[in-house]
Amino acid sequence: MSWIRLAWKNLWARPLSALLSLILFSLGIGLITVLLLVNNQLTKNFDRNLADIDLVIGAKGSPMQMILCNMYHVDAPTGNVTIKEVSPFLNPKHPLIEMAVPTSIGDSYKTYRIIGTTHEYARLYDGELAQGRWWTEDLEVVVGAAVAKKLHIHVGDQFMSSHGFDDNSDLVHDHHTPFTVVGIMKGTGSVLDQVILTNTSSVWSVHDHDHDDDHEAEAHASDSMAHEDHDHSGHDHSGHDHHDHDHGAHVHTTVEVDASDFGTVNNAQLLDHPEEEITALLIRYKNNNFQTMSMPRSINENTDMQAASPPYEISRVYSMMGSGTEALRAIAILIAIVSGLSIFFSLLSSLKDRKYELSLMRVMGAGRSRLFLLIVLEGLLVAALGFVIGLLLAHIGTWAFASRISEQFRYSLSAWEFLPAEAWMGLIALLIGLVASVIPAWQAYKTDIHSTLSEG
Amino acid sequence: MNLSTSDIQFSYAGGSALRFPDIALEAGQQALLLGQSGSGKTTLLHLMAGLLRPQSGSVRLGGTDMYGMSETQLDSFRGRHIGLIFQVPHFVRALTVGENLSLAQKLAGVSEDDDLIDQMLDLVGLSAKKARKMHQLSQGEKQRVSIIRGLIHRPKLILADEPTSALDDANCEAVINLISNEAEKIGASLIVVTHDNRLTSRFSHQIRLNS
Repeated sequence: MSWIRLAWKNLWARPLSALLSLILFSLGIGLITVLLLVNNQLTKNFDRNLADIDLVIGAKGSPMQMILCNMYHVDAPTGNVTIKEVSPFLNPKHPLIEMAVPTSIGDSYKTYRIIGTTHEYARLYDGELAQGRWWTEDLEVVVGAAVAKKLHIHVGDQFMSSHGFDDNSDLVHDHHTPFTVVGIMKGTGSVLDQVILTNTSSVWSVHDHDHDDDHEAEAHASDSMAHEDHDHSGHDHSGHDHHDHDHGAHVHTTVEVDASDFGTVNNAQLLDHPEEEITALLIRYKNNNFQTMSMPRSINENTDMQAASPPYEISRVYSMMGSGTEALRAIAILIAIVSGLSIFFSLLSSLKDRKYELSLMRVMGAGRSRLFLLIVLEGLLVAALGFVIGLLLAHIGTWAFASRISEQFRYSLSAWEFLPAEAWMGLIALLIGLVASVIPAWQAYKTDIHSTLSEG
Repeated sequence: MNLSTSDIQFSYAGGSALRFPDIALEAGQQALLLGQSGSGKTTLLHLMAGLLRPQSGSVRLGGTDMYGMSETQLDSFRGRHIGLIFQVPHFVRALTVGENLSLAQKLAGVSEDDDLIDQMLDLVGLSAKKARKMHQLSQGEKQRVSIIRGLIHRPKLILADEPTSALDDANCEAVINLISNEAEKIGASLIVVTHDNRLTSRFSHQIRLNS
């Protein structure tokens, strides 16, 4: 009969109070661990998805919304800007800009966003192809790893996109040629895994078809902020009516466009369509210097567009999340303290019943320090077991949470990643067990055997 | 081992000092300690068992001055050499009969001998109850387990506190025979503390305490 076995048996001699202590303890540990895991991974995800993008330029509105929409793909767009407006930044010879990646957002397939862009978008996240090839024509798409896995998409598959970001059959663009999957990307652990990429002009052509063939599409257009500027009723002759090309009505269009063949694979080709629109431009500077520092302000002041810095906006998101996390953390710490108290009280009350038993063990030869250690061991057992159960619950919980969050927020959390902080939590858990059991153990230590035994 | 007390005195807080007669017991000798309730029998038993430090005087077992030792040394000395049998038997509740006996061996510092446990349980007719929890035993069965627990580590001195006071005549004789015979078998000295006059005929060596 080892001491640890004796402690274990003593513990389970009072199953209800042992269970209560254990549940409280694992709850506290579990909650703290979940917070650690989620916080750590969200931060990591946010940082990874920053992708060294220095500036986002788009339609005026909330800068945070613009960044969440265009980089993290969780919010609606702030509106669109015309190629003409952003043309200075699309110029490959721009002295300050290393990369300018356009995004056209507003459509989705089964809630996964379709982003009209250039091949450079994948380069932002070091994306590579797992299968197939990059798109060369309109209506060809390359699918992110997580999307392909979730929707069982293969190269050669075809699908119709739908308007907005909900999976709503009423909003399916059913009058255009379907998208064809030509490539599937490797997993990067970034937001790239959660999107479907295509040509910027594919998005234009899908919408042009809609507006030409289906007047109901206009009702749909008002559903999404992304399309609020797409007022292509055909009565508007202010230069936007090039969309009516299929009716042969390009009376005063500035650019001749054929919806089926925009073929914009790079920024230079985009510049050929100054009146078309994109949602935003993701910009990476060559170097950060005095000129790049003044660029956002000059855009905000001198144009109808806004420019925002992702690291700055994300730090604002953190500070907003921070207060929620703080509150949860406080609750978790409270639970941990209560569970410590529960260990304390249950040991103390068990001691009252076990006074005679402990005196008996002294009579039989156990020294005082042995009894002290026995009680401490009982406290530590609860703490250690509670820690293991709590950790397990936390990881299982994160795993369940991760599968939901990846759909809603385009994040892939890995539930089975263990943090060094968890080892520290183990240490703290044992410390709580120790502290909670020291006073009861001390009581056991100084039990007066003579008077206890005399009481009978 | 021979036991000797000399000049031991003890007083409870606020009470008058109890003086006890000197006791000398040869190794293997058996004695009855008689006295009325309140005469300090249990106090003397605890003093002899190393459970209660006297204000003055000494208790020697096998030449060792028990109260010359530290508390921890005394605990392990007592555990190893003395066996106590109580009027009301108590056990570690979380453990089974067998585990309680094996814990007694462990705490006494002797090797945990399962064969001996089986043998002793067989002796008192409780072999079938080895795996039972203590609360599943009757009072009489508990008493028998507590007796073999006091013997299982082969102590040199056995101190029994009113082991028969709650028993009827038949059981009284069986229990006292068991304790006495087993003490003799392992060569231990035995002191039975009692106010039970049924036992006076059983022991020739008797010590009387006067209140």
